[in-house]
Amino acid sequence: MAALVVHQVYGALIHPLRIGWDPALHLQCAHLITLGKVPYVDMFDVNPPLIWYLDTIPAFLHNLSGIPITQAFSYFLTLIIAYSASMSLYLFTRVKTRSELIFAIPFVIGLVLFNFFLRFDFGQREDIFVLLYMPFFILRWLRWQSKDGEGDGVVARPLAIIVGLFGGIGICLKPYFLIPALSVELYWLVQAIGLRRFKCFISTEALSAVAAAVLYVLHFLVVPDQMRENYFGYLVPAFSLGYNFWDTALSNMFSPPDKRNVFYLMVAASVAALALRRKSSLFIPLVIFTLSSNIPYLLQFKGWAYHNQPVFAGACILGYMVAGYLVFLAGCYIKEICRLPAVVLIYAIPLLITGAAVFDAVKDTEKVKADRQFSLELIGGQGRTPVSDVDSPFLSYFEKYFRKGDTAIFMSNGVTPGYPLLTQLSVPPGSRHLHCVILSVLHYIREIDPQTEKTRALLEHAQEVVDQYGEDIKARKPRLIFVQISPVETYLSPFNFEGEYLSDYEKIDEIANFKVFLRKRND
Amino acid sequence: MIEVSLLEKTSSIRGTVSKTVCLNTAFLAFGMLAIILAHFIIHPLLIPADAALNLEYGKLIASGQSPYLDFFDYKSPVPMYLCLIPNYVSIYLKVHPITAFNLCGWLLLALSTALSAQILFRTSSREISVAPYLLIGYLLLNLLFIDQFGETQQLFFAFTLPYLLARVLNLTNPGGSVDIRIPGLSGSMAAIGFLLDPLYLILMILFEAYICIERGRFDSLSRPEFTVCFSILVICGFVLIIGNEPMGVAFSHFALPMMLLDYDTWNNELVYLGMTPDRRDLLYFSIAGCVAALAFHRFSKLILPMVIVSCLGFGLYIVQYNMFTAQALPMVFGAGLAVSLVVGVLVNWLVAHFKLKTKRKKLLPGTIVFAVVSLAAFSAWLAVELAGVSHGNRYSLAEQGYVGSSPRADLSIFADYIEANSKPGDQVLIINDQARPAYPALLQLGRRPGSGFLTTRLLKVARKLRYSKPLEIWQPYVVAEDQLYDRLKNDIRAKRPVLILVNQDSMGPALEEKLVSKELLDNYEPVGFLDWRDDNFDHPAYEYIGYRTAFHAFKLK
Repeated sequence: MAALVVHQVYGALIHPLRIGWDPALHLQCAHLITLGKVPYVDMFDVNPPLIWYLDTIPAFLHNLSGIPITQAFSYFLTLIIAYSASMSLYLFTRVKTRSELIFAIPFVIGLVLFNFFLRFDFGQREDIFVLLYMPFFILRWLRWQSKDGEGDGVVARPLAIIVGLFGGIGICLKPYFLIPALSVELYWLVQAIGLRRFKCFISTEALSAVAAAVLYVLHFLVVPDQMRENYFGYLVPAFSLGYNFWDTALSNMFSPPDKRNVFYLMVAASVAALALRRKSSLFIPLVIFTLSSNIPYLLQFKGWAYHNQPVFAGACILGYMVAGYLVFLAGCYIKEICRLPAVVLIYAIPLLITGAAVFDAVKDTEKVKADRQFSLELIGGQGRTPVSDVDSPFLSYFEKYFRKGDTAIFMSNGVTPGYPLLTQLSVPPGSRHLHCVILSVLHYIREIDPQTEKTRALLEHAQEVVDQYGEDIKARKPRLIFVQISPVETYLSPFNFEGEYLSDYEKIDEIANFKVFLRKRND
Repeated sequence: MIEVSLLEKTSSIRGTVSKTVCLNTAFLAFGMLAIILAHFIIHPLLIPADAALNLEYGKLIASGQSPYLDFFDYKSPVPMYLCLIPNYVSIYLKVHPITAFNLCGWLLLALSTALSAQILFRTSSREISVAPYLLIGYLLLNLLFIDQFGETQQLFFAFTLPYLLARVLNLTNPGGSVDIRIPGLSGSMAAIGFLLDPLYLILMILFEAYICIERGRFDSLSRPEFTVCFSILVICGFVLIIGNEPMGVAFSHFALPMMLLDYDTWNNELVYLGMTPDRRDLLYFSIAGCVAALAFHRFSKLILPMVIVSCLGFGLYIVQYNMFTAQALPMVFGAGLAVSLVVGVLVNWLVAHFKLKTKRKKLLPGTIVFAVVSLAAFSAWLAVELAGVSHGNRYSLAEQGYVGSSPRADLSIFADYIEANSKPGDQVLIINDQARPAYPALLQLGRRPGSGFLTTRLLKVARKLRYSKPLEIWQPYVVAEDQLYDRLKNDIRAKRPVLILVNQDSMGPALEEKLVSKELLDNYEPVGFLDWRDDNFDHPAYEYIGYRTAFHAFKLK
């Protein structure tokens, strides 16, 4: 585990700008919060704000230390992984049935290693949810297993409070995460039938998690009125009606070659785990977590790979636990032949993992050295990073025209390509609208949804959004503006956006479905 | 108080089942089977498209033709050969082949249910207490998915359910007395089921692996039902691959690799919105059902195996990627049966907890209730079905030489056009990469296929491979692909179908490239387009992948 954490830290050192698009957007929002900006007033995005509050930790680290914000985020994630793995391992060792201890290391390895397969989706809310939830999951398992019927004495109360708080934060990152968490709780509740262990349902960590959720809900009462009104009165209703804009086909959810392996792994690991259920009472709840995590994936119905990260994480952990058991059996066999302890192979796994981590780090270093380097001086930093970490067709415009302190706008109907580039280059947003996803949503509401008083009221915001863009351009004078040709230009055409607001800009290029506008006078 | 005799205390372990339970279960089961039978008597021409295609293949085999040599597809030959049975039934009973097919399917379902009941009620374990729920749940699932009745997946479950039950119960209750005929019959049926599609063999292997891992030993592989099943699989493999060598070679050297490569080649068109059926409801049901069933697994030994079937069924569902409802059936049936068992556990618990069950052993009152309920349900269903078809136009089967008639609304898409432009016995060719719209329309109307390509999905796959796979993968199949197109041209030239319909959107480029279009225009006259939207508003909804673009119609010059 330590080797993997060191590997993570080393990765962050040699890839200071590596980050995915959604995490980059959330990080920029968090950074703006640390600068005193108000969500949904000074910056617009539809996501619930908890992830931004959480990301203020790396943002503050960036503010204090001056390291690239993306690098601070990588360290922050490493910290979460370290917490999740060490806490899970510690809690696992508290299990009463000693024979279950053989699954502790495989469980933790599965929990840590699934992160290494996420690539651009590393640091998504789904990832953080799994990492924060798993210690809570283990503690709940211990609690329901306790023989006194109340689960007292499983762990110290302060620890249970911490695990519960973090678990609650993880679950609250997206309302959908409540589904797998509740499914697991219901399973344990059913298991308690006839055993009179219902008190475990209301334990320290459970109350602590609920407290985190209640605090989160209540905080909306104390935030500025405009933030609350914009979020609940406009963004949430708009996205609940228009989020279907990005819906996909069922086959694209499960069957494309780049996605289906996760589900095959889920099927194989679940079937094997159910077959081995007598070896550990953790198998069935983990299968339930994995299977029920498909429901949020289906409810969102976008087919975006990161939405199924909890499924992947569950399947990965199950897979490693099953593999761990097979290794243990092999150990038993070796014990008979070589007179070695049966667990020796289990303990050999960390050695193998350390070897693999070192090997991977060496390969990565060679790759970084061979790659073209990008100087961090452009963003006011020091040193270099492989240019593949900031791989974007728009990078050259920033290299050519951009100066520190300038701002820029990406008007696109997705988080990409504006993010991660703007966060990586520490470019302050040139508008309160970090992207114009909202225009796609409003377009969907206008074209697809039945017209009611509510939808008509929402549609009036389209003019407001365009006006706000205009105000921001006038006030902040962004150096570069990138306008997506299809479909954003269609949305903007009724408002004569170019003529009205971009008269001080010169169109210098068209690239990757974007028009590039450069400010004529850099005043 | 009325004796609720389907309800047994979950905790009670009894060696035998009461006659009342058997009788009441039988009443409900007969009621549901009667509803299914009545449905197919009222709708003698209703059949899913792929089942109709298999039935047509069966007719061609009965006429002396060989799969993969005289007619072409890349599916398993077993469903084609199985369809010989309804064809012979049709010939000897003078009923329409589709009606005969549905009757055979119904008989299989009845046999499967009866055999399952025999296995469940003979076991000396507490599973008896939930057995009625499992059986009724199974029939209910067949009733709910009646539009998929006869699809390979539905037949697969009918063939294998007794085997699954026998495997689980015999292994968990090894001391029980075994009538050797039951494992023999269930093993034989399962072997046929697993042969319906090579994917089902994988499912069988994984299910057996689950049993072995769970038990921690391999002694389950020596049980009679497995031995029978495995022996038949081996014999059938020899017969199919070696016994009929030219056909076996064609299947194993071309059709099977095509099938595997098709599974491995993603069709990017499926990404687009609305291209594949949106059956999220089935997934929600299956996942929620499995999760609920896992919570109750310790109350019945049958729950976990059903969850396993559902999980493996989910794997099958996504590996087939078209997301047709029929492809989801193993997943849904597994979850549905697990849920039935949970319902049984809960009802039994309620009965035991609230002491709903009387101590009197009167047979009649409860039995009469179940008999009346079954009869009432059957009558209500029948009334609704009859009311639905009584006012519509009817299509007489007399012109095909069969007795009776069918609601005209049951005729498939483009049937009116085909009926107007050809007569029974004529050869009609529909070039499309899916079974629809050729099937079931041609079979319903008694038209013969105008080529060995009843569907051109094999050609579509071959073309897809050329554009999506590296040269070294598709090169070995190019010659065979060219031969297939030559065969298509020869068929058009030699068989001279009176009418040809072409899906220009999906097949046009390939037909142009391989000069089939030229062959068509030389001998046929374009007579217009057939728009899906103009056709048969009353027809039950059906699933079709892709855009429903107009078909080009050609008539023989």
